[in-house]
Amino acid sequence: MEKAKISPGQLFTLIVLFDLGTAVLRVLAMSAGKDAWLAILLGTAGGLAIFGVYASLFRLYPELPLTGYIRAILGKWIGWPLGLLYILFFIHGAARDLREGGALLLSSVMDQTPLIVANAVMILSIVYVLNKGIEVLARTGQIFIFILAVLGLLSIFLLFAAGVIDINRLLPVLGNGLGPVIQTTFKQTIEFPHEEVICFAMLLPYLNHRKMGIRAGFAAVLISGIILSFSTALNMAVLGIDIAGRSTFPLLSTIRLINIGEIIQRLDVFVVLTLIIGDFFKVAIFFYAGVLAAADLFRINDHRKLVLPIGVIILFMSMMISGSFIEQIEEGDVLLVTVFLFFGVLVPIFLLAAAGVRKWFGSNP
Amino acid sequence: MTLKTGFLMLMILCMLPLAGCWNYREMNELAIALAMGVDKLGEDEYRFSFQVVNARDISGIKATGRIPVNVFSGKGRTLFEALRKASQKVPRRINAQHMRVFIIGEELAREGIEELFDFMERDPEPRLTTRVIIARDSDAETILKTVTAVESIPANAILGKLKVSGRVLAESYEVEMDDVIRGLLTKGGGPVISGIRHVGKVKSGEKISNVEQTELQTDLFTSGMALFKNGKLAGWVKGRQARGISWINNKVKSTIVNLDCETKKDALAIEILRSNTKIKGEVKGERPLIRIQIEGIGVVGEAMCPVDISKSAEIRKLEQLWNEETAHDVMAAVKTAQKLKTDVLGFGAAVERANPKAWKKMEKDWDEIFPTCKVEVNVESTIRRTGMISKPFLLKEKK
Repeated sequence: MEKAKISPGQLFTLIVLFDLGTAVLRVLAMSAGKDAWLAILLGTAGGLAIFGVYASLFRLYPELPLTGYIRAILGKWIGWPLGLLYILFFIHGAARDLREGGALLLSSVMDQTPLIVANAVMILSIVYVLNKGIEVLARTGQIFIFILAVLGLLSIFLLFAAGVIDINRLLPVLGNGLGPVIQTTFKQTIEFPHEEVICFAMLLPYLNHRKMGIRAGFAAVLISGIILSFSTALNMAVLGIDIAGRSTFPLLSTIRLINIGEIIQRLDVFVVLTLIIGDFFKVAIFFYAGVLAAADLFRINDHRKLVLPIGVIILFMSMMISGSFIEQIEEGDVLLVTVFLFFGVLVPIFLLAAAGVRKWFGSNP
Repeated sequence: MTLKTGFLMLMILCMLPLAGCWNYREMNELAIALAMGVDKLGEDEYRFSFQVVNARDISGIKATGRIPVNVFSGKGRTLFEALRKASQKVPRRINAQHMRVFIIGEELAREGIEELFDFMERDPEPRLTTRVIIARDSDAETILKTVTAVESIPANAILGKLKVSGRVLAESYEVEMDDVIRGLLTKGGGPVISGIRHVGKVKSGEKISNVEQTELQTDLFTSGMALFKNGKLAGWVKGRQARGISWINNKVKSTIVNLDCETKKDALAIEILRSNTKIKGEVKGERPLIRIQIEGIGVVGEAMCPVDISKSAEIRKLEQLWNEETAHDVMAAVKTAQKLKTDVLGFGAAVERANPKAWKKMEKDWDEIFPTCKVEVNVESTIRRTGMISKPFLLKEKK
């Protein structure tokens, strides 16, 4: 472990940036139709519960990262291989998000650029920041969340000013009843993006104020859930459910509709910035979690040695992970309720239960 | 090689891609198309026309006095193919990012426009804020080729006419591409798209000599609105019916309503300053009831008759007349839409909002149910001021 500390405020920024990352660009929970925003809000409640599991594990083992307490709870023989799987999981997560960000960038703005170039530029800058350590990443986050907040508030204001928002497009609420909403909540919105927050189980030991840090974590999950719900509702109120549902990149389509007096228009750059910043932090945190897990399992004192090699692996994995963007999205839907669910929710719950049992029987926690 | 030097080399390598743009497109290599038009040519073939700006001729000092635009076209079975085919004629790469108006020929509109919009949504260049117009009684290419006065770029002239007449007359309104797409997806309905009409000889409109006279021999006028049904043009409305459509769709920004006063017909003009329309649905039995609630604020704009509008009682009477006139417009629009069996008025959406369960049952047969909808119009208008004078001077002459 490196000797670094992050403050609760910094944890908050990182979680918000991570949760919004790629999620804010897309319309989530389309299977709930016009009530997608509601499904996302309900999902956030689930997200808080999931974070609760991570927080409880952290309270039991405040000095250890995820891969550390897996071994402490399950013993070396099960814990170590499971930790190894977590390394693969984190690297895979980083590669998926890198691919997704690159694909969106290429399909919307830079249609002639090869994917590997866009991804390589992104991964190189992430490698640079991670070489500087978690503190630098956290401070970068504090700068960029400010930029994102300004862009977001300005966009909302301009959308209202342009008069393109029509609340009628969100009505009727619960037109198909509660069924589809609940179904979508369980199938999609609890899992995404909340179960990916498992990455932070690797970062929590860096907190300087544990109690406040946990609170900041809960606040971050809640707030990012509310922002996601709001942005989805906004996309639908502007584009209508059909256009929003069909769009590869709905946030961009929404912002493109701003046209105030033929002067304030073409604000695509707002969304492209959001895409690049969000994707940067999402990939960086998955990446960093993978690096820390590898350093912990293989007892490497200076985790920086691992950054470049893992970066190269992520880059090539992002190219090989799927043949097309469609495949990527299809895979994502399946992975969400299998692999991500297993590593993000089931394993932590099992760990918590196992830790509880160990404590109950009085053996050393 | 240590990690540090390796990293340094990587950073230097980074400078190569970061310093330039892979995707660069220089301004002087682009032909910016401000307007595009589509016509159908025979079986399954489209003609895609572009009005391309000659940057030099709108730059002031360097202007040569030639027409500032040229029209090119390409043929193809898909729009994209037609666009690329046009490259045989255009010396630069056609860029659609600044497209302001998208014109559809009437013949194509009657056959169906649904296919056109996939490209507009899929390709990152065209924008959904582009206004869509139907070329009434002509093809899109003819409209694009017409040289216009006041605005030297015809695309801007078309947009200007559409905008201004929509805002002050309300017998048509601006329709953006996203409105059209949403319209095409409404059950049992379709979009409403404003029309533009070509007046005069086709050939003389293509030359710069067309604008070398005070009254143009050939010109473009906004004219009515096209109602669509299942993606096909079902019929045109104009005048008061068209204004009724604007009222119902809450697109009236300002317009002039003529009222009868005393014995004279249509002698008093009310200028509308603001209005707001709400549509509510209600399902009782088989036939849904649609309630249209319109609120308007206006001023007396002109009085060509002896009426004492300095009295508030008289103003009340005028407001009452105005309510009736507006309701008349609205009902005329409703009747037309019901006759054409196309729900361009958003009644289906109103029913869905009010009673999602009943809508689920009606959705399939909405084509048949829509013409039977009962409609209640309730107008509440207020005359706020009477302009710079109160009583008309005609009133004194009478005494």
